Amino acid sequence: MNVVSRSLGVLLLGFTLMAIESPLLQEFHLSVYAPDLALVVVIWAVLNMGTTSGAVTCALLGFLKDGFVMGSPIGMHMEIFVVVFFIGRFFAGRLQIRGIVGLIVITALASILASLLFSLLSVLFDRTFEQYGLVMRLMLPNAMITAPFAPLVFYCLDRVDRLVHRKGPESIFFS
Amino acid sequence: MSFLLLVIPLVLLWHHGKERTEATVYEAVLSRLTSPAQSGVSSVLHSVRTLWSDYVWLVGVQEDNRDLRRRNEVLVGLAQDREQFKKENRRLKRLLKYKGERPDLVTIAARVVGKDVSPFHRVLKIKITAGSDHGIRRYQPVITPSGVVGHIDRAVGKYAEVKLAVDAGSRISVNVADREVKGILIGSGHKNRFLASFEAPDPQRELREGDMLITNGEDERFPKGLVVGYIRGEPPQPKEGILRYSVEPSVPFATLEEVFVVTSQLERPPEMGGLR
Repeated sequence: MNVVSRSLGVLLLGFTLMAIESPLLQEFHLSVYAPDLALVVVIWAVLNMGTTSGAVTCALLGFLKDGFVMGSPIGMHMEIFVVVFFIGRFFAGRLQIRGIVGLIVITALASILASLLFSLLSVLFDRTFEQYGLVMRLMLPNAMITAPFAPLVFYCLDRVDRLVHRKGPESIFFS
Repeated sequence: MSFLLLVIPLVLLWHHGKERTEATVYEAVLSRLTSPAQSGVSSVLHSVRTLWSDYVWLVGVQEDNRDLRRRNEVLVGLAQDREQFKKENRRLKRLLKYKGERPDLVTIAARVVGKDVSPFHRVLKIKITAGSDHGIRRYQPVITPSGVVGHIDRAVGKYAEVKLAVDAGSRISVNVADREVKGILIGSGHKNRFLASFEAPDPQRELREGDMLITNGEDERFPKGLVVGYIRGEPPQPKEGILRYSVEPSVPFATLEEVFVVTSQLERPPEMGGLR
């Protein structure tokens, strides 16, 4: 029950962040600079959730993201998030993230990985997609835009997690 | 479990990667989840902005102009309201006039509620407040009095996504106005510049800057006679017998607020008025 409520809390926050992001960026004429906040949620899940519950949460989050991203076929972000989650789990057992700078670096690397996966899956499955050059060109800028938001999203997720999950995990902000 | 979580998205991706005319159940569910949320947040932000510009900001001005506070507040508020109404009135009048000019087109008016923020599809799609509930179907043309906006890519419930004419996958059959030149307009897919290319299969017929491109209806998607854009820049060198011109779209995509979706075209326009 605790695991379910925890996943729901994370999903709800992820959904809220994605719902707010698009209109907020438009309001301030910053649509060009769109950070991938859901990807930061995936990294949080890598570091704080169990393998099964984390992977399911990431898959559902990707499904929701597919709804927000117009133009990408359903399943695209589901697959990207699940793969990023499993790769993250593999490395999480071998590396330790220290401090906010470490978190920002990891987020930037995850964003680059997500862009590469996006290209690969587009080649394989999306017959209408032709903008591979654009994806490659935007890979680094997108990572640079996403990474600084990681501490903020982590802070929000830790707060939500403390509400729904009494035995809070070790956190960058609440350890 | 892990294997399933990796395979299920791939199956969904394979299923949704195919060309289809109707939205799938998953697309419908997602659209019903995400569109109202985005629309709601958009409304809240609009209200906050209005509150800020009409009240909070004025409170700051009041401190500097104590004597004129009340009058300022009322007058600025009224002036802003009046300006907004005037702008809206002008836009709506233009839309109504256009409906009168093209009585053969059966259209549904819709408001633009969202633009995409995905870095890889950014601004090449918009979301509008008319969907399958209003009889909107995939591939129906979307236009404004200024010209072609694009076509419906996905319609679910009360909302629909419009693929803009400048999207890299967009192809429109066009003629050059007042000249016997025919070609295909291809979207460039540029994220910030709204440009498209025009392929003129006959290199002998050089086009000039400012030449207007209009739809010729041969693609069986866009009705004949809609303005699409204007030739811009120097004439290019022929490449494999094809001239590829730069074209500036006639529609200012960045500031779109209302659009028409063409649901059908009448063979003979109604005799009275034409407003539907």
